[in-house]
Amino acid sequence: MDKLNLDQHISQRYNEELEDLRTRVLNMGGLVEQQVANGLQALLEFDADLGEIVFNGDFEVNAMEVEIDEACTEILARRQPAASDLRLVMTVIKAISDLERIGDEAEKFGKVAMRLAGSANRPAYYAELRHLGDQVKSVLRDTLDNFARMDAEGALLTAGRDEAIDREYNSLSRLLISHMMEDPREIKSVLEVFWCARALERIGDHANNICEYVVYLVKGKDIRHTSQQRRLAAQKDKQGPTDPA
Amino acid sequence: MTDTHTVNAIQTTDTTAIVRAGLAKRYARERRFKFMGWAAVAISMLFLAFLMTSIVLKGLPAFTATYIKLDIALQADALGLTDTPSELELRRAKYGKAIKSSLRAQFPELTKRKDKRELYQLVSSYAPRQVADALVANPALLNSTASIWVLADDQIAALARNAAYTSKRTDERTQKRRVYIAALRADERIETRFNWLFFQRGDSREPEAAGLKGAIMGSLYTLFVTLLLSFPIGVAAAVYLEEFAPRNRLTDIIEVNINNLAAVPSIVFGLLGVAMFINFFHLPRSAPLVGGIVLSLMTLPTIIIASRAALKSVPPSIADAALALGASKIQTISHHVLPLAMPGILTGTIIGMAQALGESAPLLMIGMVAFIVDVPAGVTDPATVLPIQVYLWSDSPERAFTERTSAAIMVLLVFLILMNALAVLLRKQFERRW
Amino acid sequence: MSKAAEQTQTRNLQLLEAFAGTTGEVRVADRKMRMENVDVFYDDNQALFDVNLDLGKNEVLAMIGPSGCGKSTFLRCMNRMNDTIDSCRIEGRFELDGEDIYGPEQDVVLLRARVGMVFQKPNPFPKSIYDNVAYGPRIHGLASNKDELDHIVETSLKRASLWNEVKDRLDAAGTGLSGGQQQRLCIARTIAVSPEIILMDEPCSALDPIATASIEELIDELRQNYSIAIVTHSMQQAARVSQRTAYFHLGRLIELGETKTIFTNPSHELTENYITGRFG
Repeated sequence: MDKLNLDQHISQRYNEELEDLRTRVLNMGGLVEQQVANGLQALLEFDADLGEIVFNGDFEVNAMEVEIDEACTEILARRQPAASDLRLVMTVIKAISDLERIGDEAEKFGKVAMRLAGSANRPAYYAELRHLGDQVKSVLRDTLDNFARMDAEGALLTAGRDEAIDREYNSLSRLLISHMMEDPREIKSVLEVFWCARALERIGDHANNICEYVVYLVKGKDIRHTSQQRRLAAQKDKQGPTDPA
Repeated sequence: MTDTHTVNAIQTTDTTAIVRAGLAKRYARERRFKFMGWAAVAISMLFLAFLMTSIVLKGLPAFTATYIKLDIALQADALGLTDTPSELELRRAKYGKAIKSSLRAQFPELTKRKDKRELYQLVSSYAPRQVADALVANPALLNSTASIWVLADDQIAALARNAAYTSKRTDERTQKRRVYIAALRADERIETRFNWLFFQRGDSREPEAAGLKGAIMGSLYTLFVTLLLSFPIGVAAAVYLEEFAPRNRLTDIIEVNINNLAAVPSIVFGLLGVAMFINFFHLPRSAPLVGGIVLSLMTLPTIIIASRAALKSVPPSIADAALALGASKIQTISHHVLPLAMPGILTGTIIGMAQALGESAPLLMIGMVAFIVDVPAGVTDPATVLPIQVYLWSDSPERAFTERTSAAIMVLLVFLILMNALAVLLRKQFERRW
Repeated sequence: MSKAAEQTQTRNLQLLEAFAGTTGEVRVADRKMRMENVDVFYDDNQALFDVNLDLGKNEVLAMIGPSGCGKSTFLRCMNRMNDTIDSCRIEGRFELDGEDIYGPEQDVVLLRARVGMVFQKPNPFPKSIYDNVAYGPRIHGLASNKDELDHIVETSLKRASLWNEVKDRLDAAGTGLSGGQQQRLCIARTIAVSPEIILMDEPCSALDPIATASIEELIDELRQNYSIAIVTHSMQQAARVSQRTAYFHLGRLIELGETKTIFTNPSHELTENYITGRFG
């Protein structure tokens, strides 16, 4: 079963509720995406004002998480969803938790940006940071696209890109450590870069989680904590025998 | 969305107004209907009251009997008896002369023959029987002068019943009779009592001695035979048709025939009775046995149809529950379905019996119309039934027979009411089980 | 019907036409009753098409599906209650412990003592509570004296969780109890003959939620001693009560599987549509 019909319940209102839920999640995703982009921009361009906007914007992200959580609880209580509807609600509950964490990481960028904007110190390795940031932004965007389209194959592929992000982060952290060892005076500023790189790596992990949830939602298979090879094997396993097309 | 809401709102207010406008007319129509119903009931109650009153008024006198006390000389040799006669000899003896002489002794002033003949007509021709009864009861009365109460003639009884009775007839004979009655009354020799004889004797040519016991017993025996035959066969047939019969053409034909039998004119059953039971099987004519068989043929369709309806009305869930526990079909029917259907079956049976009680046409055909004096002692003795007795008595012109006709109708109605009461009681008894 | 629902309807019919066979079969290790290639006809109308199902020992099997899908018909075949319907014709094999229950030598009365049934609307006999429970043992001669019969009645009522409520009024009319109590009385009556299998045809649909919950609890307890097949309209009830679930659709068994799988990730789209309320 590769296609999920989320609409076409006998109850119109139920259809609307589920649709509303998805829309809200996508809105939250869009907002979080925006926060990440702005946070990175503020950080890389030492823009304290933008940093403050990002810092304040986190409140809205948190508020959305609470709202969507309430909506999920209500659907669980009133509709007793089963099968794909149940998986959708479970996915949403988990995904917003990860989105909120991404929002927190973006908030950190804003704080760092506000801190660094005043100082004259321009940390090194910003180019690598920018590169890592672009990768992470791309993964995040694709993740949200996969969620929007309920694309399990795409989500699987996107999840696979987390390895590259991890590798990039590891090589960057090695560079930063050797720089700190060479020049102890630079440790403070390098550390700032270090924390930001780490935050980016975390964002990548959260996006990876969301991709796993999307696969669970569409396929009904829980692929958390499995390796990529096993996932691809499992994907081939579940060819639905039911579609006449 | 909002449009639909507004449209709905408008419609509701319109509808309310329309409904309110029509309400007055509707209530008026219902009141008229109610009134017509009440009027119909009142008119029928009026007619019923009229009917009942006329029957009761006409029939009540039949429940009274007038007796005259006579001092009768019972001399053995004059009666042709020995001093210690047997009961048979006592009953065979002729007491007429003794009665006549005691009457003469009562009114010694009458000497003319015509007068004497009229005097003898004071007492009923049943009187000698009563003297014999007295002697049999108390043989010591022989060879003495006994005071015995004997039945008065029906016309004397009519005159004596009501002291202020004004007969339309003012002829000489009636005047004389009044004088006699007055004289007897002065002597305290004439009394009007409750007519127990009415329920102890069979039919008779003499109206004052005519009783209903023969017809009552005949009806009872006939109904007994009818019940014995039609109830088991009817219930069993209903059970078969409802539970066991396969749904095919043969069953359909049987069902149609049973339903049609209920509409066959009753006299046809009488013809069947004569042809089959009397001519072919040589069963005794006029017997409650044959009457019962014929009537049970008539009642069977009623019982079968009522029983089937009762069986159908038992909720199938009970039968399902019993079957699911492993009860066989027969066990299910006898333990659960039949007991629950009993109220309906009994009602149908009692209705059938009540109908049979009032049937006369088929019984006429098989000969239960004869004049039968002896009270039947069994189902093979010749007998008559209540409705036919009513018919026979209604043919006779004597006033006393007219009274007895109405009295017999009253007894018949009492029977019917008793049977219906029995039906209600039995139904209540079975319905309590629910 | 809305446009979306019409589309679903059409799609469902297409799926049914393309139906290739039951998905997600789970074979039971310890089989009590086995049904193979079952076709049921009412005169010329076919109500069930090639149904294959089995019932394991000490399990609860739920049969769900929209109205008219044949699940009640199938249940009634299992204790030959459809014998009472003249127009019903049954083909296929029903094996109880290996013996064909529709065989010519099979005694229907004995079968129904081994396979009991509880109906949708509680139907206690119009007798006392004691007589209700004692009826089965009496007609089968399960008790040789009054004491044994008393014991059977008490055990059955205890197993049906009704003893404490009625032990002081065993002579009261069975029909004087509340709906939930009446249904438990019917269950007690059924287990008084010590059946091996209990069939339940929507046992809670006439009851209020609290009575329903107590009956469901009872079913869970009964599972230790009996094998139970339950037909239900309520998917949530099937989800709560059963270990395996069978989904019927227009006379065909579409999917059979473990309950938790059916309700989180069913294989067939028709099952998914029914469970999520897109159809039926």
